[in-house]
Amino acid sequence: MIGGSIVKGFVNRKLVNRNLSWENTSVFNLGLDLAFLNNRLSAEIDYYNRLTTGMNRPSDMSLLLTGAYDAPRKNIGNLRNKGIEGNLTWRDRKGELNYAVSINASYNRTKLEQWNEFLSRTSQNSGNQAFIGMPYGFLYTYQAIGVAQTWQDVYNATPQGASPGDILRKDINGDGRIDDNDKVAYPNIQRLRPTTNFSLNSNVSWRGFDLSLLLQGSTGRKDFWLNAYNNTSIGAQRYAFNELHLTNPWSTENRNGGWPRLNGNANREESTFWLDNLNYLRVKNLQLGYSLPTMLLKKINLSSFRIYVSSENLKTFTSYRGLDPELQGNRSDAYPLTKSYSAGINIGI
Amino acid sequence: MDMKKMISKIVAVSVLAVVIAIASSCTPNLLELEPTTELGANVFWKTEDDATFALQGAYSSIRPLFDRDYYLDGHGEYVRTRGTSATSGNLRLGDAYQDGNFNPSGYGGAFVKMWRYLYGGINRANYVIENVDKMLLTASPASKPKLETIVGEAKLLRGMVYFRLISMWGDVPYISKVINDNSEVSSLSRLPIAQVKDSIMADFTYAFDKLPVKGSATGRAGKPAALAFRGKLQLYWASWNKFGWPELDTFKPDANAATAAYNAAADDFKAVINNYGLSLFRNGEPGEIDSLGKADKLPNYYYLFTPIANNDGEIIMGFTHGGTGTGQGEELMRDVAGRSHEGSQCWVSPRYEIANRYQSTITGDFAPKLIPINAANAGARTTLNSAVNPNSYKNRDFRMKSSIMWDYEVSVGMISLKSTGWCPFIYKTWNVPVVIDGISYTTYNTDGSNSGYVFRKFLRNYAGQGRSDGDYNFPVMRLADVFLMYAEATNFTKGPQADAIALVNRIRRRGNLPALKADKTANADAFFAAIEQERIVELLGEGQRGFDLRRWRALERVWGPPYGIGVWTIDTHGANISQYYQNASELVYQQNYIFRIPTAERDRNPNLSQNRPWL
Repeated sequence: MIGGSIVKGFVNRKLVNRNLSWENTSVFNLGLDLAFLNNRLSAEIDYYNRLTTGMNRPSDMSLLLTGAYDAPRKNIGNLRNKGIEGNLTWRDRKGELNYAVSINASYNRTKLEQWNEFLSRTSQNSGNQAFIGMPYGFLYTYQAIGVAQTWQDVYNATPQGASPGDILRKDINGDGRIDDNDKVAYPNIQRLRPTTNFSLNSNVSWRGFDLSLLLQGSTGRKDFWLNAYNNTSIGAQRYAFNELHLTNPWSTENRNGGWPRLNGNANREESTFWLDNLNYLRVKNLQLGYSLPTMLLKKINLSSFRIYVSSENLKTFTSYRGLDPELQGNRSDAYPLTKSYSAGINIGI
Repeated sequence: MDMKKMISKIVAVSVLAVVIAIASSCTPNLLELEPTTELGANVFWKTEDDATFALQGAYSSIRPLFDRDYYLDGHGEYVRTRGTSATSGNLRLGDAYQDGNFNPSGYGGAFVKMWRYLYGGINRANYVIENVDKMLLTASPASKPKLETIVGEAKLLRGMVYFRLISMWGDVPYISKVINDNSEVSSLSRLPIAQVKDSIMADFTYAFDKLPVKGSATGRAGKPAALAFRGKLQLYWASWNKFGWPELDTFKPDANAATAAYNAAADDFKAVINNYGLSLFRNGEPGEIDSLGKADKLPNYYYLFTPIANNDGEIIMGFTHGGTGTGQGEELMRDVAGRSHEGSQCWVSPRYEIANRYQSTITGDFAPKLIPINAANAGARTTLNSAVNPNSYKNRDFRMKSSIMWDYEVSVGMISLKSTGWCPFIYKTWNVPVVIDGISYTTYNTDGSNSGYVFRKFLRNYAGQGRSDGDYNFPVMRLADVFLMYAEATNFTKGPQADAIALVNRIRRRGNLPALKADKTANADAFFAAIEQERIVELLGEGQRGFDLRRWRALERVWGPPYGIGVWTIDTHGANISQYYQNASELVYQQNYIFRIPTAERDRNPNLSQNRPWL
């Protein structure tokens, strides 16, 4: 605004990285296709070892520049992906019983081998914890001792501003204070992606009946159960409480409610207190059907007739306290995975 | 493949070939084309308009480093900043203030974004300065002065930003050229404050030499701005030399340097006051005032902080804003008013303690201390000097009614860009019906104030603009401030001077206060107290108090000595609100006297040293 009217101006917000180049990837792949026992058992196994050099990522710049310029992309580091994928299928028939079971599993590990920018203990790249020799997006967290029940518990722990009802954190390096240096890294656990995915698909048919089952699961991921609904730091003036706020927070009458006290000290820090294992096994689909035999169909002039009941997401086995262990992203999302039941009739005329 | 398909393929291929041939014949130098979406350096930077265009870009990047300085008043004892309306990631909407801490203590470790965007502003200014300097090498004699004006403005802006940097962090890295790669700054160390100060002086002096007497348009700087900032820089430099800055290891105070800087500052201020025909808004007259509980007539001081004053000479340097539809609005109303005013959020409010600072227009001295009483108590509204008795606010400095509202003071309520009529403020009532003198009203709606007062200063008294669509030119340098700084600078070297006393009295005149009595100007200490008093009242909510307290080494005077009981702030009902500096160690004070160099930056750059209290 100059002289009371709007004017245009321009600024230079680009820094150019003249050395930017493509990422390179070298891959070693080993695959096996096997079949045994008269093709009843078949197996496919794949091993890969993929090295990406010069990962093309947004770079990190000095604060002296980031107020004016967008950081250019840079060839920033090397990442190795190693993994194995397998598929086992058993298919057979016993008299009128047809059945097949197939198991599919994959395992992937990443390792950051090189990084040509400053990496601190807490460095993240696009939300992934990054450190040399560690998987991309590994878990890095405080160790919780538990909720302090008495002042004695507080005095026994490293001073951290806690009162009874607060989560106590462990002073890993023993320097008498709790800071980033007291976080522990977990090289085998990733926060955003599981290391192992698997599924089991099976179907059985006998005479007109058929039954199919799809199980799905993953392991190797842990994340924090911290969202808008279990917030213990509530606003002083206005706050949308939910029922859990009544039953769960610690108080002298409710020592095992599962949450620390309301508006305590450092209770929302990412510590093992809130850490959940995101391993899960889910009954993704279960279906039972019956088809009328062809003999009968001919009599009523139909080409096919099948009646079935089916359910999606029937049950998830997990120790995660949040909504859906498969989800990434906004943990305050209010919509759970839908469970559905359906029944139907297929008629072919 | 049948024949038909084959033919159509051949046709397609040949058409494509022709297209390619035509396209390439039209652009013989494909690789040397100027990009159409970006400005190439060799087509830009040709004309004065180009340079102006770039300067305006710098203004728009530097405005948001200063235009919410009212938050910074939370570092003093008279304003509470409970939070901000700054939008994260949006520089124009206050991102520079977004991670700040605006409490009276414990703020020094914050302001990483402020650091980052201040350097952003430096880079923007450098970009203009370096490129226009290049143009000057080949410019025609006719266009030279205009280009030099542009460099002058950019240097003024750069100087202001470095001045802010050194007054918070002391020694800071100094960048004076366009940076093309991170490696050019990634190992910079901090330059001692004395050298940075000299560079800022050089920038302000260049600006003073080259700028026009009056800015070329509202929002563009003129000579008085450069001079006033040069004076202010020297005043701060003098203060650091006089009072010391022990937290800054590299700095050794020097009494002679202090005297020299006070004198130089006074010279600059005097030039601003005398040489440019500037006068206070509406000639410094107090204007009209309405009776208690009415606001049809408001004093001139109130209007100084509304868009009416945008073009006034008193605002020596102000950052402009546009109203509805421009995308350039300020959010003063959003920050100072309540829900009853276009859904505003009352992030900033006056503390209870400011009220006793407003003197009596009759005695010209402090009024009897207000007595905080819970409004629910019998007789609370009628007790003599009760803080909830409106009559206790009678015959006060006109700047009181202009700046703050107490119980039963009214402002224009507004919803959906329409006036809802007079809206009385009554502490601890929120949007409830109330009958005053037989007329029904709905009370001011905010739970943002915990003192019993809200701001009137900066709040428009007419509807029509949303809470984010303000068009006020936020002042970063006012003539009244220059008057008071002149008085301060001369008082420290020569004691109370007649011209300085006259200037302070002109400021007091604006509040309809009589001239200072003889005992207030009897000696340097008494006069300093009078100057400080005027700074508190006159500059309330303008972000000056925290900087003043630090450069005067006055935190202990205000909050008590280390390991003391500190100070409770209270409200008009007499409730304790917050206790500051309780049992605070020396380190707490030290960490409030100097800010922490961003630690993430030190991790990256081993040459970047830290201020001692933060090691």
